[in-house]
Amino acid sequence: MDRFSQLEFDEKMPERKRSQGEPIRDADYFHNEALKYWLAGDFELALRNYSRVLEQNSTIFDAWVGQVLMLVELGEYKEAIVWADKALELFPEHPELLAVKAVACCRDAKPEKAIAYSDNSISKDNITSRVWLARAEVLLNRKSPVAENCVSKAISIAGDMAPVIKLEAARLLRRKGSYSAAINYLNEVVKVFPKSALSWYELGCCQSKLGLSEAKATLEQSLRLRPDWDIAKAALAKCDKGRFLSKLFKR
Amino acid sequence: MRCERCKFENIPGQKNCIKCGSALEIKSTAIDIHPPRMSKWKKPFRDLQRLIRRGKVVPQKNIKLHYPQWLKEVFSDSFLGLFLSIVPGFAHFIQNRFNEIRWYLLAWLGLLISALFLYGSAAGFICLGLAVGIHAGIAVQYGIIKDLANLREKIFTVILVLLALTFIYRFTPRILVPNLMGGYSSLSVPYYKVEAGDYLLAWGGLEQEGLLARGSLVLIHPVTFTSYGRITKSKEGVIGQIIGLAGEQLEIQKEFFVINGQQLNVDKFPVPQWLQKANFSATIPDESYFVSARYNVAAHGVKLETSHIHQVCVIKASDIEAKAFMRWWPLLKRGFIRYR
Repeated sequence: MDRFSQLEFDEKMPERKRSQGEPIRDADYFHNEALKYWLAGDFELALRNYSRVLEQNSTIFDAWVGQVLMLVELGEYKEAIVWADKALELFPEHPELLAVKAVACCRDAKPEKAIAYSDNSISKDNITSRVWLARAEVLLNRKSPVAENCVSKAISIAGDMAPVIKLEAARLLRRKGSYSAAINYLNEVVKVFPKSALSWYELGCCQSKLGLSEAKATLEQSLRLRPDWDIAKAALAKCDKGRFLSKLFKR
Repeated sequence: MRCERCKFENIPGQKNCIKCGSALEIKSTAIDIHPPRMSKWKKPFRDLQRLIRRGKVVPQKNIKLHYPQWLKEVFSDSFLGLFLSIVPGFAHFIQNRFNEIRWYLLAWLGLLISALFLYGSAAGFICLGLAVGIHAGIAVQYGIIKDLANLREKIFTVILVLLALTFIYRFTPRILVPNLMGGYSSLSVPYYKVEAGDYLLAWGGLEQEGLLARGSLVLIHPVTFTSYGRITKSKEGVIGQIIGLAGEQLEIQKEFFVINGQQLNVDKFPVPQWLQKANFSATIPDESYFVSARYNVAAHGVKLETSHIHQVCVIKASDIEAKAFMRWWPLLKRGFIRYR
C-alpha cells in the first residue's frame, strides 16, 4: 500500500496523463537526447541534456564527461577545465576525465599542461578510446608522427562506440588538416548515422578542402538535416565561392 | 552499493567505492550539476589570450650549433649564436626552432619596414632604435646572456651588443647602397614643393657632366663662421640649391638672383632671408657653384660682406656630395623631384 494514500487533500490532485507513445523521461532518455543533439552539431542543447541526465542521477559518469566535452566544443575551455576538476573530485584520477581535461588544456593553448594530463591519463588502467583520442590530439598539437597510431588505437578498442569515436577522430583529423584520412572515417560514419548533420557537415568540409565536387551536395545534405545551422550555411557559401573562383581561374 | 564505474559491490553506507574511489551516491540537491558558463563578451579576450599563448616564446635551452671543430676552438657557441643572429632568428631557424622566434622576427621586420617608411622623422628613428633593441634582445637571449654570471656583466654585454648592432645598422646601408644619402632641406623652394625641414634622399655619383644644372637640389656640408672668424665645415649634410654655374656673373637684388643681367624666377630660385639684405655681385670661379642654403652666420657677429658670402656660398664641384632626387619625409609629400 502506498504510504501517502491515507493523506487527505482539499482537492484531489489531477493525475498526469501519459500517452501511450510518450517515452519515460529518465536519465537514459536524456542521455540519448544529448547524443542526438551532439550528432546534430548542437552542442548547447547536448550540454543541457547532459545536465538533465545528472539531475536524474548524478553518478552517471558519461554525463560528466559529456558536459566537459560539450564545454570544450563550445570553446569554453576554462570552464571545461573547472568542470573537469569538479568531476575529478567525484571520480578521482579517472583516465577519461584526465583525458578530456588534457583536450581542454590543449585547445586553450596550454601544451605543457595538456601533455601532463595526457601522460597521467595514459598511465592508468582501463584506458578507453577517448583517452587515446585525447592523446592523439595532444600529440598532433606537438606535430608528433605517433599521433595517427593513437587514433588507430582509439578506434580499435572502441567496440560498440566505434562510429562515435570515428566521428570524433575524423573531426580531430580535419582540424589538423588530414582531410583524406578524415574522409575515410566519415564515409563509414555517415552510413551508420545517416541523420547526423554533424557527420555530413564534417564530410562536406573535408571534401571542400580537397576540392572535391561532392562537397556542395554533402553540405546541402547537412543543411537538410538541420536547416537553421549557420555554420553549415557559411561553409556552403564558402564552398560556392571557392567553386566560382576555381571556375574563373580555369577559364 | 554497486559502483557505477567498476561494478564493485561496496558495503552499504559507503560514500566512495573502495576499489576505484568513485562517488557511489550523490544527492542531486547536494551537488551542483550545472557547469559554469562563459559570458559572451569574454570570448574575444579569451581568443586573444590564447593567441598570445600560442605565439609565446618558450625559452628552453641554448642553441646547440653544429660547426667544424676548428671553429669551435676559436669561438664559443655564444659568439656564433650572436653572429648568426645578424638576421634575427636565423640561428633559431637553422635549428628548427622558428616557433620560438617568429613573433620577435615579425616585430623586427615590422619595425624595420616602419623605420624605412618613416625615415627622416623622429618616429622613424624611434622605430629603428626599437628594431635594434629587438635585434640585440634576440642576439643575446640565447647566445651570450645565459653564460654570464652576474647582472653587471649582463648589462655590459647588452650595451656592447647594442653598440655593435647600431654600428652595423649605421654602416650596412652605406656599404650596400654607397651612393644613397639623405639630408634635411635648408630652403623652401615653392617650385619643387620643398619646404625647409623636409627630408630628401640624394644620390651620389655625380661624375657625369651636366648632372648639376641650375636649380638642382644638392647635398652639401655647409661652412660656418666661428666666433673667431674662422670657417669650419659642418659634419651634417644639408640640402641647398645650385643658383650660379662656373663663369657666370651672379648678383643679388633684394629678393631676386640675377645671372648675367637676367633676373631669375623667385619661385624656382628663392633668395634665403639672410642673403636678402646683402649686396653681392661676383663671378663664379671655374669648377665651382654658387649654392644657396640657410647658413649659420650668426656667430660671426659682423655685417656680411661680399668676401664672407663668397666663402660660404661658392662651393667647389668636388664638395657637392649628391643630388636630391626624392622627398622622403613628410609622408604626404613623398615623391620624386622632377627637374625641368
